[in-house]
Amino acid sequence: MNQHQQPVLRLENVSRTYRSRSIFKRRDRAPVRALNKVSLEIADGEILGLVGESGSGKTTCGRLIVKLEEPQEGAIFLDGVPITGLKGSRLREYRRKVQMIFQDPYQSLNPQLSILESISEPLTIHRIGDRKQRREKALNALRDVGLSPPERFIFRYPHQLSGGQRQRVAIARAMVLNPEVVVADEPTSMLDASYSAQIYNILLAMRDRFHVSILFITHNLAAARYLCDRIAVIYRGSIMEIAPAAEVIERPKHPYTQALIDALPKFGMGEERSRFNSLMLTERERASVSCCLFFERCARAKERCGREAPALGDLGPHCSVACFYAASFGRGGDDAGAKENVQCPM
Amino acid sequence: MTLLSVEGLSVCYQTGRGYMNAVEQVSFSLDKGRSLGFVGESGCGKTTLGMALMRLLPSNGKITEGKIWFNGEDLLCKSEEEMRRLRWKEMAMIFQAAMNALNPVHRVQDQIAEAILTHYPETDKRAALDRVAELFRLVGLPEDRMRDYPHQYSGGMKQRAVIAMALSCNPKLIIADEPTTALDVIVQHQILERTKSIQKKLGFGIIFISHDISVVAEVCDDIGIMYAGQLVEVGAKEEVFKAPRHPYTIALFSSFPTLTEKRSLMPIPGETPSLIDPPAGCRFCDRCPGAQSTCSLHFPCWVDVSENHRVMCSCCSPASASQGRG
Amino acid sequence: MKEKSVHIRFHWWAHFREGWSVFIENPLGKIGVGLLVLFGVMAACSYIPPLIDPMYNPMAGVDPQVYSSVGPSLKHWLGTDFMGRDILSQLLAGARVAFMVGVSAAFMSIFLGTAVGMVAGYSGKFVDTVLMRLADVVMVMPTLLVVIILASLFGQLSIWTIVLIIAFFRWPGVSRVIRAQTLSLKQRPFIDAARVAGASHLRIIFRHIMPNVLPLSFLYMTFRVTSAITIEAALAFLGFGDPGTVSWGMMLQWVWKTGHMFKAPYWLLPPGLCISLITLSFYMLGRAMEEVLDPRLRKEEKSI
Repeated sequence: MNQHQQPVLRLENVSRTYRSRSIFKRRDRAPVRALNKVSLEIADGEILGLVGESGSGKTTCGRLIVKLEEPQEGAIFLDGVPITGLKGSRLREYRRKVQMIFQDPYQSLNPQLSILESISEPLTIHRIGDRKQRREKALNALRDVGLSPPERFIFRYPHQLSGGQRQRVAIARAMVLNPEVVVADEPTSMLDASYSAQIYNILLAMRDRFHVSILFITHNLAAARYLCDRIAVIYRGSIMEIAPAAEVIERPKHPYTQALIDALPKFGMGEERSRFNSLMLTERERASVSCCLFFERCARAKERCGREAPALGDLGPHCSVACFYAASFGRGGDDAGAKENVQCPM
Repeated sequence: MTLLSVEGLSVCYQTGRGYMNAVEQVSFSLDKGRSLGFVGESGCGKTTLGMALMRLLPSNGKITEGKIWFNGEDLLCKSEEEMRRLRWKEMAMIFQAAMNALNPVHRVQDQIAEAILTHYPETDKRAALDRVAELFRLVGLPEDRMRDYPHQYSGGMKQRAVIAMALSCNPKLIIADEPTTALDVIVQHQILERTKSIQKKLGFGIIFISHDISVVAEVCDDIGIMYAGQLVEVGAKEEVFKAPRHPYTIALFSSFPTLTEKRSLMPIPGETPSLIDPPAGCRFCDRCPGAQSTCSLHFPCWVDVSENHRVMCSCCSPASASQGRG
Repeated sequence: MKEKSVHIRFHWWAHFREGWSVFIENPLGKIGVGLLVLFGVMAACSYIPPLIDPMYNPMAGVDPQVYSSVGPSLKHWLGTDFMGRDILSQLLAGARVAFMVGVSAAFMSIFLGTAVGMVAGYSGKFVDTVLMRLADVVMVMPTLLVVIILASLFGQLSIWTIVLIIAFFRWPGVSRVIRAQTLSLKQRPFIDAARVAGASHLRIIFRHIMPNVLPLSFLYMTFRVTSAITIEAALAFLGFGDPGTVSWGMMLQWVWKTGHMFKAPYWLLPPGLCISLITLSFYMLGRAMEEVLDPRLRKEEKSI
């Protein structure tokens, strides 16, 4: 990967807070920090996995990138250009370049529109080509996602297709504009295993053929391992670890990542699995307002972790971890005091 | 000792579009203290099977043939009143999205106690609450949360409460239908571990239904693969995983991404057949890479691969057992 | 493209056929449609009697041989009113007026209500608040009373003015329902998908929200028809109707005004019965359609 090339998408210290209002103004519930100063980069043609559990903020991150919501702090850059405050034709240009695949294939297609209408709608909005050309593009898009012959599908309606087929239509719709970045928000969490496998392969094919960058949001580490070049692990609104996929799976540095790997069912996925045991059996009390987000559950938390939250620090050219004692964790090692500079293999 | 034995069970639904054969000729047995997992994709009939075992099918569903032997008694010969007395005391079920089964306006301890008092009316409230406390300790819930309402619990805690409710009357068999699907990975792992240890301690049988093979593999001793309403392969977990025989099982295993190596995933081409008008022969034949001309004509037969592993496929003769496939 | 429009038409037809089979199974649907067909035939036939003989004209046709209200006979199947006009032809003309008033008033109020509901639901915040408060104000006003006041100020109102007024007072009910439906649709991922694709707000409203909201509008139209017919009848009965139009309410007013309430059942009963039956049939139609059209009542297929 060419490191000096500008990343196609960059998030810089992005924060998003949700405030729930109450009728009695005085009793406003505490604001929820969905994303807390998150910084990410996606290189051209890269598939970056964003792995986290529910409530981690991964979906919010995706929504901010496609401008369904706006961040309260920080900035997002596409090809070096900031995207906050875009209006009119510049906003439309942005929308042409950044698309999204939604989680629920049963709800992300308008039930009243035929497949042809759904797929060619982005082309109509951006006034690309005439009717004949749009139809041709739609047919090609369907062929690309494996729905062949496409003529069999264009006049059908979503309720006549299975979940897997609907999700492929959603991918076709996202790709028909030939975008630069596609955010895939848990595209397979509502599909069966065999259909999920098809979707993963289609996404890989899309990347290889059209050189599109993909942000793959998921809670499934194994799927991220299969699909992604790099994986970012997010917990409670902050990134805990970013590293190449193989590195995250085989040598996780952050205790949370280690807990995720431990929790994955073993049988059928290889017997050799070292147990990191980084999770406490019962949670401890939160030490202070500004302590590490994982403090309550971390089995290796030290005194410093209870006082301040670690920032995402580099542990090598491609690895970053948000933990004071990350360098000393490998295969369940003991603490070694201060952070050391450990080289991350490429 | 055989706890549950099912022979040739078939279940049909009367739907607006026709008569749907949801489960066809399923036979299996479960010994006391063992766990059996049913794996399959949506529409394969595993949930229907679970409901049929408890005779809790919706009004348009019917068991058309077969026998269900539970503890030596034929469940299909029992009246509704007898089944009602049997449910929860002898067999308990954890439904899909069970955390929504908790009534939001009652305290958790009251709901569990109600289950106990309904089936053992001679118990007094004090004794019932003591039993609830014991159950809380068993499933790993803090006792000081007994008096809380369900909305104060997290997803994982609600699931544990539902498991406690299922265990409340000391059933001999628990049928769990996707009990951990809506939960996060870490919580799911903790609950599965806990379930395994409780089962070892109390010795009940479990039937575990899931679409996730890896989850079933973690908890169960035996595993059964279902496709389009039929049981296509069943056997001891180790054997089925090490040497799957049925083409669907092989395909299913290879469509799950693993952590170990980055091998390519092989999706299964085609779609599941319609259950309203199922194909005559093997239901998997038009998606099967090794299908032969006879497969679509004749119903496949059961082939014993070993003592505790059998597969329903005409193309898998015992002779090929030594060679192995996949 | 020709193929495309053919397929789209087929889609509507197929949908309609599917809905129809569910609808007609419902006993309410069967009775409702049956009665409406009967009234429809009556309305269509209302043109026939004056063509046979000008004596049968509901407004102006007077039987020269009759000087007061008489009961049913071979010449006048339902009898005549106090002026000698044939009651049956009045009844048939009344059916026509009922349909006209009912359907047009309902259509106008649905049109207004749907537009307001969609805009309010989609815009949210300030616009939503303003529109809904306006709807509240209008909804709270007693329709009948206001119309009576207006009539007493401006004299007799024409039938179309009445229709407009009814439409004006009845739109808030629909708008609340459409607004609720729009709010729930707004959350659906396909709206997000349209926004991500770059659709403007107007496009989202007309292409994505409206088609999904129209079935509900259509459903509520049937309920609006019943209230429109009832209001018109009430107005006519109280003497505020259009004197140039024969409607069932007007017939009832004549019965009452001329003191024939208890003396001429053949004159009193038919219009009263017709008003009740037509409102009942539209209501039954609406209830049967609810099962087909209301997305909230539709059951999803459970997983097996």
